[in-house]
Amino acid sequence: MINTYAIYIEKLDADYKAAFKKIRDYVHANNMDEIRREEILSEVMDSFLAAQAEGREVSKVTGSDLKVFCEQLCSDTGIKSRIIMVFEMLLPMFQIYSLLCIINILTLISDLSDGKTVDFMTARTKGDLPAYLLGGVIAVVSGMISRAVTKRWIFSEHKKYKAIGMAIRAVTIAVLCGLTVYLFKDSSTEGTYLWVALIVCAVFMTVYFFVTRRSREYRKNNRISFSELAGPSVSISDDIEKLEMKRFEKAENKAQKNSTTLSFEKFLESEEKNCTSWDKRPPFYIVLGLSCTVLSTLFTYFVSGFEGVSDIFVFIALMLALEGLVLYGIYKLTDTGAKARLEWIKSKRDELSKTVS
Amino acid sequence: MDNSQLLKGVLEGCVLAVIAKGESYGYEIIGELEKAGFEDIGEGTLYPVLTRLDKSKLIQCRRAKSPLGPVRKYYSLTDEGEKALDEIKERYRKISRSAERLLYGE
Repeated sequence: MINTYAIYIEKLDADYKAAFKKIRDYVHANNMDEIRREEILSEVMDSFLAAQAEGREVSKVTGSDLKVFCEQLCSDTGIKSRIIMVFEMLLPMFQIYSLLCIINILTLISDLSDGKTVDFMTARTKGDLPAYLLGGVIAVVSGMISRAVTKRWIFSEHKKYKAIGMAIRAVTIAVLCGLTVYLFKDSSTEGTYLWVALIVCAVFMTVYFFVTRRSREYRKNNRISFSELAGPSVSISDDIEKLEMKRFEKAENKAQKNSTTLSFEKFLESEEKNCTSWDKRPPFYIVLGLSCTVLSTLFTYFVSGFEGVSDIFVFIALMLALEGLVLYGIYKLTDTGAKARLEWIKSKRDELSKTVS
Repeated sequence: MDNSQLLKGVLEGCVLAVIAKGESYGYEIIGELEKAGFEDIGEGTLYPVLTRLDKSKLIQCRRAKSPLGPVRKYYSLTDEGEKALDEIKERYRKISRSAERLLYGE
């Protein structure tokens, strides 16, 4: 999870929250790239939290005129920032188109494996690249226009300005689409050459990666864990203490039944091994689950014959991806629990070794 | 003459002077300016000044998680910044001396 301003909005009092939402909407409407928005809003959020803690009024931080405050805040947005924003907005369109191209390639490979002749150089994509580009540009431009126009109403009509923005955007889209249909209604499309489409997508992705490298660095440096978010984890360690003591009791009783004694230290040792042994940790289960799926799928197809080799691979890839995502998500969620348990165990062992020595 | 013009000319130097005392961040700098007597300097006025100083490499910033939670930019003076501050101090002294003579009479 990224340490972004948004996770602190609930910590603000009513006045501060209302002002912050207006500022946030203005900054978003200002057509600048993601990192600048994040930085500006994080700074404002930090100042708000500090001023709130000191018991001051919002107007002390923002001055009497919120509109002027926002304008000054965003005053040095340059062309570079706007260009980066355009790239960020075009990304979804290129992602969809790249996916289309990949599906086309898979179809070609499937044709190849089925014995048909395939000429890569003359293969065409099912979607027309200029059409997709036009669609993407219309979406971006309509967004930018609607935001630029509705900026002025953020402060006077905060409740209504979003509706106004959507209306303006809808109108812009309708106008541009109408224009497109009128200009191009007589042209027929056969789809672009696949290799041309691939090159264009590759170029965009490379430029996008280059242009957003600061954004990725920022995200990497500002990660925040769930436990940090929740605040002091006193409650978690209390729960763990109770749980572990119960387990100790059970283990002691078991040992007594076998006429042996169990020391607390031995118990901690075994618990630690328990937490870290490879057959208990989630990755093991993930790998187990995935390999089972793969093996069973292969087995099924071997038994029923080679009907469309390409289908198997697509199926396996999709299943692995889906399962991997789901299991990784579960692992991440449960990992905090295992980590906290381990920490408690280690702290207890440190205590023990201190008292002994 | 507009009040904001005079303020703009002087503000960059004052911000540099605050940062020269030690690494600080936006809200703290505003607090220092207020203590010195500047009224009504909001984050809005300060932020562009800090960005400009950063671009001209007179200050450098490092990003860190603030104790309150969000990511905070901590600013410190660079070597060029120190030199620039000395120059500004000198220029300000000369200008204010001459202006005082004329405005308040000798």
